Amino acid sequence: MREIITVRKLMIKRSRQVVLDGVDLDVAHGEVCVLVGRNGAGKTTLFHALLGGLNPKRGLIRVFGKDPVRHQRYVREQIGFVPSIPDVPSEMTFNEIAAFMEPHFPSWSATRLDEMSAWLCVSRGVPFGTLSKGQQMKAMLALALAHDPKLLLLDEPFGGIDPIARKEILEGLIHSIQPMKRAILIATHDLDAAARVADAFLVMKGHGRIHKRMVEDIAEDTRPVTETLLGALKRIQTKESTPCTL
Amino acid sequence: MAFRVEVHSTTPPSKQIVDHLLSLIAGGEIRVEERLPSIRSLAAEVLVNPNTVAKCYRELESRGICRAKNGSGVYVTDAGPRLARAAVIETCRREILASVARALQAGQTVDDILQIVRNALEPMETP
Amino acid sequence: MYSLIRILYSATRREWIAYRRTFAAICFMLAALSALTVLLSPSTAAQAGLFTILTTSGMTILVTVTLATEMWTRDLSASSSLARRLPGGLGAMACSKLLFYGIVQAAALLWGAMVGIAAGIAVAGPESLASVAADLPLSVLPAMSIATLGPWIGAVTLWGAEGILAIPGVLFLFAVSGVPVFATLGEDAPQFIQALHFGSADTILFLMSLAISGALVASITLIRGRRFDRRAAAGACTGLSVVALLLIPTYTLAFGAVRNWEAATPDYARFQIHGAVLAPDGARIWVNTRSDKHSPWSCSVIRTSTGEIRRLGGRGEMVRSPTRDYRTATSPFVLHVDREGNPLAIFDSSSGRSLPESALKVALDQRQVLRLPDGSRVTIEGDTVRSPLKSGKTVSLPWYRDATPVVHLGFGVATFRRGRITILDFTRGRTFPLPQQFVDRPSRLFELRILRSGSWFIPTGIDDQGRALFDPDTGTLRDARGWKPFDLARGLYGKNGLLVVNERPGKHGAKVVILDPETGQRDAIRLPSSRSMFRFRNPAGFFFGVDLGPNRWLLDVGPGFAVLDLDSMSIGEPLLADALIGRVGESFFALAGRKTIYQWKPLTGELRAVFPR
Repeated sequence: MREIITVRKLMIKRSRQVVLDGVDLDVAHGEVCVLVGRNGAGKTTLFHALLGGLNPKRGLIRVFGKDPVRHQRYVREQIGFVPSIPDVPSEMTFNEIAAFMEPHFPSWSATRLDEMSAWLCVSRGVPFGTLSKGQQMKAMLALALAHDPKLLLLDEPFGGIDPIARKEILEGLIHSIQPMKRAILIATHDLDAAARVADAFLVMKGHGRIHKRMVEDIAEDTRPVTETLLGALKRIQTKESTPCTL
Repeated sequence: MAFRVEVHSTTPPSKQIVDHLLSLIAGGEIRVEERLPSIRSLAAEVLVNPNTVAKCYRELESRGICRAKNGSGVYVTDAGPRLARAAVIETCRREILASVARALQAGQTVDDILQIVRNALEPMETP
Repeated sequence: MYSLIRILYSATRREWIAYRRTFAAICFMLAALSALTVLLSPSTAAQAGLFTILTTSGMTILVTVTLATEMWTRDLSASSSLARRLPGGLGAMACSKLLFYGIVQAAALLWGAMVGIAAGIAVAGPESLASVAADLPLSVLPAMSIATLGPWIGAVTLWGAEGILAIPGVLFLFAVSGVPVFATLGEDAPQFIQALHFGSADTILFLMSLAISGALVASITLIRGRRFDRRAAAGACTGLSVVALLLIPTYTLAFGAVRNWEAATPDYARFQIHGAVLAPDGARIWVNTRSDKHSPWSCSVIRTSTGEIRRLGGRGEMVRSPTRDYRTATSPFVLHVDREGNPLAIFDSSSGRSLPESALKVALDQRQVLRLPDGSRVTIEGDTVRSPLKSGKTVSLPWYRDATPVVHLGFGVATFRRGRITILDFTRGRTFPLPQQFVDRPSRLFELRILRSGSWFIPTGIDDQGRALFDPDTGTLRDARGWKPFDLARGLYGKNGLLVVNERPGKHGAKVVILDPETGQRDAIRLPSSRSMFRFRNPAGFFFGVDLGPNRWLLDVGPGFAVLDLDSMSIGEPLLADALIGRVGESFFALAGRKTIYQWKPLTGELRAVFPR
């Protein structure tokens, strides 16, 4: 199949509220897409839907050509997910978490994990809860890459991270880019990082509707990419005339 | 190479990288038949998507400044330095013209401008 | 497959990591408490068997309460659970939690046992091991019962009853599930439970099925009911549906057991017939049955021509005969009564047709005949008994139709009515209240025999071992002659004849003699073979035996019935049966083993099984 992710007219409700409605998306093999949009637009919900953790009310999702709900195991074995808030037990150490995760992924490589965690300088033997936010995020990235996923999802990897860790995460992220082999989907507010890594931007509007723009289309000689993006975000806000919060 | 890509600049990152490579090749820091830094290492250093770096390399290739040697890397062609110099000079020319235009707009006289240039170049004259 | 095992292993290990500290704390606490007990109350620890039961149950309870109440909901939030988003997801989670729970409970059991044994040895030395070994099965069972609640507690937490609320939640669930069965049983519930005869093997099986079903409910609730980001309510719907499905076979079994127990169908092993009413033409026999000594009564009707049995009415209902022919013990009417004895219907006992209420009055008014030991007859009509006297006159005595029981004393009867006992003496044609001797010793009444001579043959002496002849008019006593030690009076025969069994303890067989207490004459009866015990009872509906012709009687010679030939002074081969149901012409219907009904012609020996065919 040509696309690694295909979403058509997706509708997802959570607690009777419509979170995503009429969402269309295509992500090609090896593409790095950055998902930008305001808080609460539905980025995290989309990620969970791609993982098969939510049941669409309407519409269609295909990841690696398969429905993630019906082929949950197959799909999840090839996705690496870095959540915005680490969801691992805080009393477990990095090594214990790795040992827990390993059997779930046929393509897990301890060597790969060792290399990545060394490269990112992750503390492996202390309880996860004692690590700083930045260290935790690096650890989650290393864990997400250990099984060489074909699709990497990162949900706000730079949120509230100190600058040094941010740089390290960005380096790790760039290191993990494998054109043609690994698609990456990053949701972030960090427009600097977004501009650096994106092959395409997914601008998320109300109810999760996505407008995809390739980076070369966005690039104008007179404006930095970041400003263009910012403008696009502002336009969403005004277009939908949501009550303005300062 | 303390080169940084500025995403907030009006120059797109790819152009910044291309310009940087051109100046390296033009200045002889990467000589003929010498291998350019690998895509990945350059991308890691300047923190951009390797795809972007790859695009830059392809552009240099299309301009004849370098050549990819089946999988082993990208190498500067014989014509490379010359072409690079020409490109750099062309860029400088535009930049100088733009600066001159700005200075004239700001009210500087031609003499003031020439004086600035002379002063800047003086220390570089070989005695 | 191998990868599944590895996933299970790592997930179970992950559970262990989460709870190892808690478990260690529980183990330590138990050890500390045991040590304290050993120091402060050694006698408690010395009862090693009992103490080990406490320690094992204690460990199991603690593990159940601390773990089961929160381990299922710990990693449940959709946004904050690693395990939920891994391949294998909720399925691996459910299996690993169950596995982990089982392992921890086993470890808890072991630790509890070790602590108990250690305490026992510390106080009472290695000998205490013996009592522990003896009580070991006992200690496992309570622990197992508590442990089986674990998966159910897990299920209930997934339905929304979090934490400590889960335990009453589970108990409530069990109570509600049991309601339909107990509602059907009503007041008979305790008897039903007794009738189940739950052995320890059954208990273990029951606990295992409870554990397995709990595991199923919890797993399905987690995997289906709480998938995606469904709330606890959705989990409850799923879980309760599974519970409903599981209840179907459970209820089927339970109601089947109740049905068997109360319906008393003949193929049920413990089915027993306890009372019967025979139609005068022998067409139908109406029986009271039950499946167990604790079960309620039920009643049915048997067609003797086909052996078919059909149940009447519901639980607790019985059949009764308002009247009984004293010669044949048959009754043309049969009454169907409810639990409290209130009449529900009247049937014609031959045809089975139901009759109007007025028929009852007719039945009660019917003329009946009571045969006395010497062959003479007494007629009961409505409220009156007409008794012919020696002098030839006929005297009328009051008869109480509603008196129950009526005890036959030979040439008289005793009637019990509303607490008042009246003795009707047919030799004198008079009624007597209960004499003082009997008021002091009520059991003597059942040993009383009114002889044709008018003497009342009664027990005397401190322990009722002696016998005397009592004159109720004067109140005087004189010795009964010919009475020997170990004599047991069992009915009257002939004129003044008293059928007596002489049982000597330790000796095989018993002698049967006919004794005349006026004269002291003893005539022995030859028995066909020696019997170790010869007990005479009053057969249902028959009094003083049944005459089969001149000098031939049918005797109840427990465990059966035999023909007594007074000419040859011998007793024939008995038919082994519990009771005679009634007589139709030359045939007698007899109940054997409380299950089988035979038709028997005692004079010819012909025998046919009537029910079951």
